[in-house]
Amino acid sequence: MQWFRSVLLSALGALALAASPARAQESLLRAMDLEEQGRFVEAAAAFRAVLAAEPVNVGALLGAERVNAGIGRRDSTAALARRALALDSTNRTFHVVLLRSLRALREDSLGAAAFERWVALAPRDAAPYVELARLLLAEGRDSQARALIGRARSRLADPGAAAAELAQIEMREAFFTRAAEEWRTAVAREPGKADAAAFSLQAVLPDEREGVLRVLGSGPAAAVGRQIAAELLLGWNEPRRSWAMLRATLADSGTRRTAALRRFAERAGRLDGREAQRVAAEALEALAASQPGPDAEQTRIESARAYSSAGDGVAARRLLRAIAEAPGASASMVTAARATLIELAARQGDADEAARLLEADRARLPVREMLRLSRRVAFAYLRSGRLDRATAAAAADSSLAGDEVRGWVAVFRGDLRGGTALLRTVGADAGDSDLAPDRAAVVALVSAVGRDSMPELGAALLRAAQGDTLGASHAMAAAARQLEGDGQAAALLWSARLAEAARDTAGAEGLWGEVAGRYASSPAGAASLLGLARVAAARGQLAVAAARLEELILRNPDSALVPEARRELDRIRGLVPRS
Amino acid sequence: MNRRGFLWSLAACGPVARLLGTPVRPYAGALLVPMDDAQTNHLKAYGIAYAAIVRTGRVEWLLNYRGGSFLLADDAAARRAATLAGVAVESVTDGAVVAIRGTIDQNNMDAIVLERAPRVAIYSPPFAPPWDDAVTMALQYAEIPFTKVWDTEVVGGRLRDTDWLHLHHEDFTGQYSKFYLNYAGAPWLAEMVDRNQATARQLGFPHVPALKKAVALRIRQYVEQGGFLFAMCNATETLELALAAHDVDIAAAFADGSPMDADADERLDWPAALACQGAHLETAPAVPSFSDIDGHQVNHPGRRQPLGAFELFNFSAKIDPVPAMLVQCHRQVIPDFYGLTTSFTRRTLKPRVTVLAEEQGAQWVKYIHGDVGRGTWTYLGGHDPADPQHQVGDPPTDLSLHPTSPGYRLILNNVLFPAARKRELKT
Repeated sequence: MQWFRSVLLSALGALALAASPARAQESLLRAMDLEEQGRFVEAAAAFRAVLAAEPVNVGALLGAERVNAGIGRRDSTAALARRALALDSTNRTFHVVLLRSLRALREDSLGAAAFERWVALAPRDAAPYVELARLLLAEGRDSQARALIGRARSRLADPGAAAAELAQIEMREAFFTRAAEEWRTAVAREPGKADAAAFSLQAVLPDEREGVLRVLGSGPAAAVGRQIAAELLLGWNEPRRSWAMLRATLADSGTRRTAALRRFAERAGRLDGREAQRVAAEALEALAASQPGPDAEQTRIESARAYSSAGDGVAARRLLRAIAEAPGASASMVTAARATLIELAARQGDADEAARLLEADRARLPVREMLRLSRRVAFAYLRSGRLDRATAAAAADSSLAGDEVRGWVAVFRGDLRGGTALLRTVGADAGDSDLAPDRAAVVALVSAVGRDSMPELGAALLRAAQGDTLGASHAMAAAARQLEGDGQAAALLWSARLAEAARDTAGAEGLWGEVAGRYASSPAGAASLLGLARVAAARGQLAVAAARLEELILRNPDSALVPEARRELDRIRGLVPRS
Repeated sequence: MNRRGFLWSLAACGPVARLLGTPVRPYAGALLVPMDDAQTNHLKAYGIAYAAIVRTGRVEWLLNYRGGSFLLADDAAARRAATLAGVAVESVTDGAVVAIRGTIDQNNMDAIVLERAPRVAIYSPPFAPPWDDAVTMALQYAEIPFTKVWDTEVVGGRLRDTDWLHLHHEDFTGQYSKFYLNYAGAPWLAEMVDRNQATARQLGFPHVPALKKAVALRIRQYVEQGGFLFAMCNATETLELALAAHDVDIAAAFADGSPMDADADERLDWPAALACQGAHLETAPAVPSFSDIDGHQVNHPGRRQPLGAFELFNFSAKIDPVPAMLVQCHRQVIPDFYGLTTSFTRRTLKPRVTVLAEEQGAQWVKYIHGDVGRGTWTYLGGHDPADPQHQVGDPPTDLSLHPTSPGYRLILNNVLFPAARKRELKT
C-alpha cells in the first residue's frame, strides 16, 4: 500500500513539475528535506518526480540513489541512471551511478556490460577504469581492481593511469615502496591528491619508511613528494627531520609557503614533546618573517609561546622584546608582547624581573590584565618564599583570585585557620585553576590536623611549593610528630607522598607502613595501603601487593579508594590487561 | 493462592519440599546476588556464584527474578569474595526467601539449582594472535578457572574431560580467516601459518584444511555425546562450513595447494552441520568473507551492513529453562557488535534452531541455540561485546571498565548453564 501511494505521488508530482523547471528545483529541495528527516519512501517519490520532469538532473539522481539504497530499491536507481544516460551519455556521474547500482545489486554481468558500453563511448578516457577500480576497491576486490588498472594502462598506453587507485591496492598488500611510486605519479598529475597520499602512506610500517621517503624525494614531482614526506615524518613523530624536509621544499614567498608553514606549525604544535614545540616555534618564526606588519607580530607572539613551551625562554624573550621595541608595532601588539614577557619571567622564577616589567607597563595595561599579571608576579614571589612581596603584589586585587594569594601566604606562615578560610572561599572555580586540587588538598589536611596555627606545617607546605619535595617531606614528618590521631595520619601521608615525589621510595614506604600500621581503617590508612601495594607491585612482589590491596578493600569497604584498589588488584592478578 | 504458590509456602518447611522435589534453601542464612541494576559488577557476580558452587555444591539461579539473581549460602568466604570483587550482595532473612519464592511462583520465573561446577575448556591457539578472545577475558575477569585446548588435544580425544567448550576466532575452513588479504607479511600471520602447518604434519594431515575438518568433526562428536559448545565470531560460521564440507574442498589454493572444488557450493552436506543449511560459499579467495551465513559481512565494504541493536527473547522460565538461562540479563536490548561473523542470516538456519536474540526487522539473528544428540550448542555472533568495532591489533578490552556489560553477561550465562542440575536441563 505504501508502495502504491509513493508511485501515485511520484506520477502526480511529475505532471506538475513538467510544466515548471523552477518548481522542479523547489521539489528537489523538498526531496532533500524529506531525506534529511529520514522519510526515505517519500523522498524517493519526490526525487523520482524531479527526474520525471528533468531526467538528467544530477542532484536528483544522486538523491534517488541514496534513498533507494536505504529502502532496498537499488534496482530503481539503475533504471533512472539508464534513462539519464540515454539522454546524455557523456556524463560521468550517470555512468558511475549505474555501475554502482548494478554492482550493489550483485548484477555482475550487467555491470560489466555497462562498463564496456562506457569504454566504447570514451575509448581514450581513463575515467571508466578509474571509477570501476574505485568500486572494486570499495568492495574489497583488490585483485580484480589491479587487473582492471593493468588493462587500462595497456589500452590507453598510459603507464600512470589510475595511479591513486593502484597505490591504495599496493598499500593494502603492504607493497609500500610501490605504493609510494604510484602516489608520486598520481600527485604529479593532480597535486590536489597530496593530502590523500600523505594520509594513505602514514600506515607504512617502520622498517619500510626510509625506502618510501627515498621514492617520494626522487623522480617526477619531487617537490610535492618531499612535502608529502615532511607530512609523513611529522606523523611518524620525527618533527626535526620533518621540518628540515619542509624547509628544503618551501618557495621563497607566496600563499603556498604561508599555508604550508601554518599547517606545519599547527600539526607540530599538537604533538607532545619539546622538540615538536620547538620546530613549531621555528616554523611560526619563519612564517612571521614573510608576513606583513600586524600579522607578523601576532605570529611572533605565537612563536614565542611555542618557544616557551619548548623550554627555550631565551628565544621566547628575544621575539617578545623585538615586538615590544619595534618602532612601527601597533599598541595592542606591544601590550600583548609585554604581557607575555611578564608571564614568561614569572613562570621562569624571575619574580623581580617580572615585577619590574609590570611596573613599567602598569599605566598602559587594562585593569583586569594588570591584576592578572600582578597575581602571576605574586605567585612567583610565593614560590621564591618572599611572602611579603607576594602580599604586596596582590594588595590591589580585591577579587577571589587575590584572596587565593593571601590565603597561600597565610597558610605558609602557619595561620592555618585564616589561610584555609580564604582558600575555601576561592573554591574550585575562582583563582588559579591549576592550583584548585592543591587548595582542596591543603584544606583537607588542615581540617584533619584541627589546629588554628602551626608554623611548622606552613613551612613544610612552603618548601613543597618551592619544589624542595624531599625537604618538605622531612619537614612534614617532623610536624606530624607534634600531632595525634587523624591529624598525624594525614600529615604522615602527605610526608609519604612528598617522599615518593622526591623518589625517596624507602622513605615513602616507611611512612606509609607507619600510617597503615597505626591507622589502617582511616582514609589515610587506606591511601597508605594503596601506596604500599603499588611499591610492592613495582618490585614484582605481586602476592604482597595483592595482600595490601585486599586489606585496603576489606578494612575500608566504603573508602573512595576502593574502586581504584579493585582495578589494581585485577591487574596484579592478571584478570585485566596490565596496560 | 494457587496450587503451586501453596506448595512453595510449604517448601519453607523443608521435608515437604523435598518430597515434592522443589528447590529448597538448605542453609541457615542466604545471600542474594541481585543481577538487576542494583548490581555493581555483573560479570564478577558469575565468578562469585561459580566459587560458591565449588565450595558448597549448591547455588540457586533465580531466572527472571531481578535480572537473573543468584541465591547462595551466606558464609564468610562468599562475603569476602563479594567485597573484594565489588559485587553487590544482600542478606536475606528466612521470611524474605519465602517471599522471593512466592514471587517466583506467581510470575514467569523459576529457581534452577546449580550444583556442579563445569569443567571449562577454551579452544585457543598456543601462539599469541593480535586479538583477544571475549570469553577468555570474561572468564579471567570473573575468576572462573579454565583450561586451554587446541588441535592436538581435540584430535587426541581430550574433550572427554570437558563439560563446556568454547570456540572463538578460529577458521575451521583452514584459510587463516583470510587474513593474508590485509595482513600479508605480518609476523603474527606467518607464525599462525607455521604453527598450523606444523600441527597438521605432526598429526598426519596433508594440509591445514584437512586438520581443521577433523577437529570440527571431533567437536561435533563431543556435542553429540553430551558436551556443551559455545562459539562466537567466525568460529561459528567456519565450524558449520567445515562440518558441511567433509568431502568437499572449500579452501583456496593458498591454504591447501588446490583451488576450491568448482561445484563445492552444491556438494555441501548440510545435515552434517549443527545450525545451518542451504548457505552459499564465497568462492572468490580474494574476498574477505566465507559464506552468506553472516548477515553483516564486515570486511566486505560493498556488502557490509551497519550495526543496530539486538533484542533478547523472553522465554518461559518454567517451561523453557534452558533458553531462559541463556538470556538472563539486565538489558533486553543490547547494542550490536561486529566480528568476522557478526550474525546469522535467518534463511540459512535449520528449522529446529532456537533464536535467542534478533535484530527486529533484519534478515539476520544474533544469538542461537540448539541440541544435537545428548549435547547442546550455542552461537553468539560478533567478537567483543564491549568494543563494537574491535580491530586486529587493537588493545584488549579492559573489563574492569565494563563490569556491567550486558553482552558479556550472555557469555557468562553460557558458562553457568552446564552447572544446572540435569533434571532441570531436561525439562
